Amino acid sequence: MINEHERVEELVAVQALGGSTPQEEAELDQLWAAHGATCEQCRRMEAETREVAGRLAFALVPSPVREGLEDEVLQRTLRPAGTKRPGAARRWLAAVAAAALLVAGGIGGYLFAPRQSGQTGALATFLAQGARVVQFSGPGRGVLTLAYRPGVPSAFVVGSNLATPPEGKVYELWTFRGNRPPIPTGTFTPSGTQTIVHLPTDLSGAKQMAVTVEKAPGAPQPTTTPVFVAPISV
Amino acid sequence: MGPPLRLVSPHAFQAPVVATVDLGDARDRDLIRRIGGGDREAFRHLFRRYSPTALALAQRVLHQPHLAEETVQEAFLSVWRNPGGYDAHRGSVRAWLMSTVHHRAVDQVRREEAQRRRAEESVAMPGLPPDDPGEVVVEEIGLPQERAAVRGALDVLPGEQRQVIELMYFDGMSQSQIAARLGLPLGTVKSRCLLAMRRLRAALTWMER
Repeated sequence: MINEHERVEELVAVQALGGSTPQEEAELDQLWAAHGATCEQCRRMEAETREVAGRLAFALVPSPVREGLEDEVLQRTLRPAGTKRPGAARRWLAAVAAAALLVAGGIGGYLFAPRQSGQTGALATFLAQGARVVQFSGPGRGVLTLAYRPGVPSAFVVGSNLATPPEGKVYELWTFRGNRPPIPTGTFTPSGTQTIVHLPTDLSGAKQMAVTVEKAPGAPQPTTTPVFVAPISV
Repeated sequence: MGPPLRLVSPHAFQAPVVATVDLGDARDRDLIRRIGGGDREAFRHLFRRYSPTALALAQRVLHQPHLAEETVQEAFLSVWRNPGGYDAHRGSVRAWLMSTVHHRAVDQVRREEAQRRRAEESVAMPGLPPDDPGEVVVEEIGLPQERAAVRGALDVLPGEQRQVIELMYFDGMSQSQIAARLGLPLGTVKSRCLLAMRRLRAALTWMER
């Protein structure tokens, strides 16, 4: 049978890790009131446990914070507690574009998760270096997001839950620059639920990117209506 | 941030229960003190320093990026509104701050009672391996020594203990849920959790005793 110190230690550990049930919370409250609060050993153990639990977050790879979030939080400090942000839902939707990319790229992933491809690492690096992120829109199924850095010959297109093209067809990317005809920028076929496509392309001067479904291995000019379109601002 | 300058806290009466005395935490405590005086610039510094980790944590627990962002905002706002909630005698600012984020995220998961559905529907959030080139760059944006210390402590845990910690902390699972998930007796999960936390405490706080 475990002693009181050990039971307190068990319950504190579980609570600090976020795994307590209401029954365990209640038991800890009782034990703490009867024993822990006056026990130097338990007080030290509790503080150390909470310190360790808090610091576990640093095992994660940090996530890039959306541009503008810092200012939004600062703005909220000016308002009384409990005040809802105006247009919060709209801003959330704006964040989804970046978020979808982060999810696909695994930036917020845990260190001990299965190893990912070098593509994911390259994407993480690219995002950490301040890439612009824009979500495609259009009738295509799934979420498609573009990350690019003007002046850098590199961009990523990240797809999530995209429809599989018909047999013998591929998705083809097109870049629109000025009034020139669209430039074929690469093809891809989704594999699984996530797709990461690296484009060795500098999108400086580009106005738009679009995706059509074309006959494999790709067409020199689009032959179908775009299923995804994304504006590019540089 | 330079190498942490660790001081050995004296075993004197009324010594802090956990004395975190690296220079980074000293600076954090100063930021909290200034925030208490309404210093928004100090708040901005704290946000820049810790929001990437806070966001990673919230995203990992919630699996919903927009909710994670909101959770991080609320956590930082709670610091702004109640900096006195931090007790320097009970640990570091960073641990306190991340605990705030973590508790809010776990509460959010449980309040909506949608943890299982969320996990099933969400896109997997894989991590980066330690030697992934992407991580090297990401690491440079914050607290590399702290990350190395925590990862080092986790790395030396036996795999079965680390698994329990991971499921509880990052997935918000109770011991019973973990036991069911892993097909283990509840007592085994409890002992693994306890042993893991003892090892982590020994690894991460022993110099400060």
